Amino acid sequence: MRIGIVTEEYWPSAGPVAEQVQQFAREARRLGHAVRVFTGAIPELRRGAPRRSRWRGSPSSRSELRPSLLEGDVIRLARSRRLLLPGGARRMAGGFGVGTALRNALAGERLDVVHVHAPLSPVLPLLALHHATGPVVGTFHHPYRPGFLGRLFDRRLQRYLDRLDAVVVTSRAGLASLPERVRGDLRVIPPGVDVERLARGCRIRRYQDGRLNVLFAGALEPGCGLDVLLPAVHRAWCHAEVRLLVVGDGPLRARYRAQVPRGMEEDVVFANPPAESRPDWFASADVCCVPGAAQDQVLEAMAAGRPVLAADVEPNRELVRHGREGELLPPGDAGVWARCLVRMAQEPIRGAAYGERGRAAAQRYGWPGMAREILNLYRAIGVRG
Amino acid sequence: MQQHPGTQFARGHLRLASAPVRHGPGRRLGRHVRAWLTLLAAFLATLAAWFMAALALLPLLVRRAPVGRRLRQRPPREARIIPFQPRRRALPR
Repeated sequence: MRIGIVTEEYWPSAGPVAEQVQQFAREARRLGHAVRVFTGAIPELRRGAPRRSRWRGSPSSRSELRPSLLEGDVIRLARSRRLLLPGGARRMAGGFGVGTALRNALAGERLDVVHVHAPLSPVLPLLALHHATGPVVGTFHHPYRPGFLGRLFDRRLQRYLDRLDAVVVTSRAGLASLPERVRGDLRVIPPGVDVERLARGCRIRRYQDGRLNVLFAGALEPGCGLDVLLPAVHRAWCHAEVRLLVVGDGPLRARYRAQVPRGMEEDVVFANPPAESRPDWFASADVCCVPGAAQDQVLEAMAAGRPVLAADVEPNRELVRHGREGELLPPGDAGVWARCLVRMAQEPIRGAAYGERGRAAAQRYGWPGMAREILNLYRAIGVRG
Repeated sequence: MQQHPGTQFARGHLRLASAPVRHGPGRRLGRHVRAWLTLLAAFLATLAAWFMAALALLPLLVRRAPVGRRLRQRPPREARIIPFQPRRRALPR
């Protein structure tokens, strides 16, 4: 099968979408399929010499790991820029002639199926829906709630939605208004996780000093929830030996560094490690906190066998059962988070039990199985190859 | 209680993280200024990105419908939601 993936987010960009594309491409290639990724061009890649911050366009902590495709399998079409939206940081290609370039690239590759990530978002996904002539599958990673522009072009966007042969959402919460607008089936396929890699982490010795290591591993962008977690950890820090490990990068990194309470600076570690050592950070954590809606962070923590404290919101609720793999806490209540962290410091056995159950539950979301789910979906809509 | 106080040294296979940087209180103002500058840069980058995206999407205003069609033209009906049902397998011991 010749599969084309159209995405704005791809290596060296970080985040759950880029990770999913990479992991799926790797598994599909392993099973003998040909995969081409159509994405934006990142100028820093051509210049070489990666810089430190992802926000400036350099290889990110998560995706620094070798890309799963050869560079010839990745078709970079137009300059991609990072932008900041209320829901987080995104990438977007742009400029004259992008549509023509994409149309020619899609036609030249003779693809059996085109898989578009975030299909109703500008620029490459919409252009791919417009120009694709074969079967098209779209994956919605976030709940589809049209904003001002979405409502303005509502009827036109509906045509593009009707063009999709199959629609995938990564969580039931992601369905939002889609059931009223989609003709046909909506398939829920959660994000996968690299179970084997995360289980191989070694504890970083520097942080094994008897303190409770609280890990936040995600992009530092609007909605990540760190503005709740920081005061919560500070309250817990007043009552117990607690350290916060913030692993990730993003446009709000400088802001969060400035928000660290006085006196606690030495117990808050901001790190942007290479992806190879990311499992080591999970292994070093005593508890992983997911204060926002982030299934990928929850799954990573579970795969690493760490207890999860997650915000009690719909996407997290689909993966974590309260009192089984971790605890679900009210998203904005720093006091509850602080009390829970103190309790975790006092009851390590409880944390270990959560972690073991989480590790067992995460096996269901390993990439080999998730890639087969997506390939079966292609076949179900009549894709040959 | 700290079990391993002081600086840690790399030994053989052990992988150690870099030491946390110690900041004096005078750097707090600098951090705030840096945070605001980063946000300003992000805002300008966002404006530029939207402008270039508008240029790229202009042709879609002329050609209103997608070029291709679905494999199977299905009559309009209510969406059916197919939940994820992972395959259960034996856990490794």
